[in-house]
Amino acid sequence: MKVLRALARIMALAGGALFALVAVLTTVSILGRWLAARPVTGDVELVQLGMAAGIALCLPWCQFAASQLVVDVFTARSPERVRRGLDRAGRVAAALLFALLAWRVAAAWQDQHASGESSILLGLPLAWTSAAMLPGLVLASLIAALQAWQGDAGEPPELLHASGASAPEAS
Amino acid sequence: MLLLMALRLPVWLAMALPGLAGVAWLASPEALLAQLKGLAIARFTLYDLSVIPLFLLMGNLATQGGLSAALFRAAAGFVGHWRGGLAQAAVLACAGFGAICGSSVATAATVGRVALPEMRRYGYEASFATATLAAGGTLGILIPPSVVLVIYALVTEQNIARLFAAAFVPGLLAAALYCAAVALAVRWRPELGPPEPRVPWSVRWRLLARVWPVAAIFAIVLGGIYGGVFTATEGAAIGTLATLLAGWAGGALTRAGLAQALVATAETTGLVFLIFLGADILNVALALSQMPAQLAAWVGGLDAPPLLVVAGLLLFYVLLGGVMDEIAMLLLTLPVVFPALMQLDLWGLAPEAKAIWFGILVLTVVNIGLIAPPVGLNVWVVSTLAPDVPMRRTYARATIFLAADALRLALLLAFPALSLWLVQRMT
Repeated sequence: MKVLRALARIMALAGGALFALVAVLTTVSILGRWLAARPVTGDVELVQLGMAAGIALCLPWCQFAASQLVVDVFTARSPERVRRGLDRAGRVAAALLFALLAWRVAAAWQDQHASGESSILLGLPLAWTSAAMLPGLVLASLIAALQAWQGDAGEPPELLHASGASAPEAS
Repeated sequence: MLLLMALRLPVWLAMALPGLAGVAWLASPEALLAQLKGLAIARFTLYDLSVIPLFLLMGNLATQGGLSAALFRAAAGFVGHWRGGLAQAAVLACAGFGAICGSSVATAATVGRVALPEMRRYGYEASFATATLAAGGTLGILIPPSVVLVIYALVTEQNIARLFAAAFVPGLLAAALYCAAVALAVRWRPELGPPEPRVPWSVRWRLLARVWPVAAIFAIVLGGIYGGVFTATEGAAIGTLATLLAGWAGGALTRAGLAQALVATAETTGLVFLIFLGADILNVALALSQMPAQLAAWVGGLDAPPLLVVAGLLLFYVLLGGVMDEIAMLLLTLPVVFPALMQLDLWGLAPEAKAIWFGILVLTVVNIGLIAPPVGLNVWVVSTLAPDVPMRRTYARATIFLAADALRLALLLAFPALSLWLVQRMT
């Protein structure tokens, strides 16, 4: 789990960095449009590719938080065993769904690869997009499966990071 | 589906699983597999959606860049010597931070980290301080940019720039009402927030001058978007870079802080897009079942006064927002609710004006959900900053801010012009 978690964090960092790169690209394109009346060719296509890859890279890390952001008003009083069982079922479902999505995206990749379709302006193969989404989906599925197997979600929710608060990492 | 959520299933799964079952049953398992092939790719490559990670990144960079401290110090310089003044300064700082951050959770946490220690040092009652910050944090989404409005705009196919313009006056109204709520509270119970020493004017101007990066970023991003110079995505991209530069030039943005901002963005982005995926899958099933169209027809044929229908709808949202994630709530309900709403005659508004006005109402309701029990995300976030204050007490003290929210909602409902005035000036 530790290895997967570290890997997920690196992927999340890469995903965030990709968003920053998209921001740079878009800004350069706007400046080009204003100053030289010449935007970056195919900027929208690059943004789309960067976003798809970036978002998918976020998913494994996000599974740690998503698996713990649950409504617990109704089950707060039920026994510990019941709650653990429900959580485990939820993680199995998450693992299966991520795997299902990965399988379908892989199928889409095969289609696109076979047809050799590419984007209009830059001629980027569409298959790149689906290929870029695969690692994130696969790792997210693995993490969810391992969470279900070990009956443990890993560290407490990381949403604190999202809020910018200093997370109680020691606890 | 709600049952699944009650059974501790994460919200995106609670939407996706019934959706999968629905498509497989209403159409066929093969159709389901064919749908899934394109669904995730289509969602992740939608150009308009790239505005969400960018605004999130911008807010997280602002969080790490120390801009909130300058805002709070400046506001405290001007109003800190009033009774309850530091609380009002916190609200104003939230409003200022909300102008460059589209997330309320980030706003509450960021300003909270600066303002909470200060307020407690001057003897503010702890739960009053946490309640103020939880409420003030909602200004993060109320004042544009706003991630919630972006999502509303995408689902209902409305213009983001116009929605941001519409949110501006109601956002200022919210800040004013929160300040008034603080003033009222300390009038009844002076011990809640004692004044701090007066700050000389020369110092005040100096403190105010340090706020210029925030003002400049807001002016560039929102000015550009309102003025139609660039799109929302482009504005978010420019804002992200400007915030990065401001944080870096100010010396507050460290490498660890940068990494933190990237990971935080990744996490929230992942959550939002998972919810999008879940809602997408469910919506395929809903569309197959024809339920939205039937419901729209039913609402259109209702005999009740249209405004009463809207009020009922908003009340339903407040209740639902109490137990579920606000973004999931919108993605889940809007495809059904929105077409129905457009059937109603409300104040004789044109369709576009009606859509924008309803967006602002929905935004207000989401903001109430963030500070209302039993699950108020903002209260939860602030309480992680002050673990010694029981959440129960924060909820109790937040009542007066909820009253301010209710008043604002009533005003916005009764006077659509509050939202639409600026939009009409735009064209």
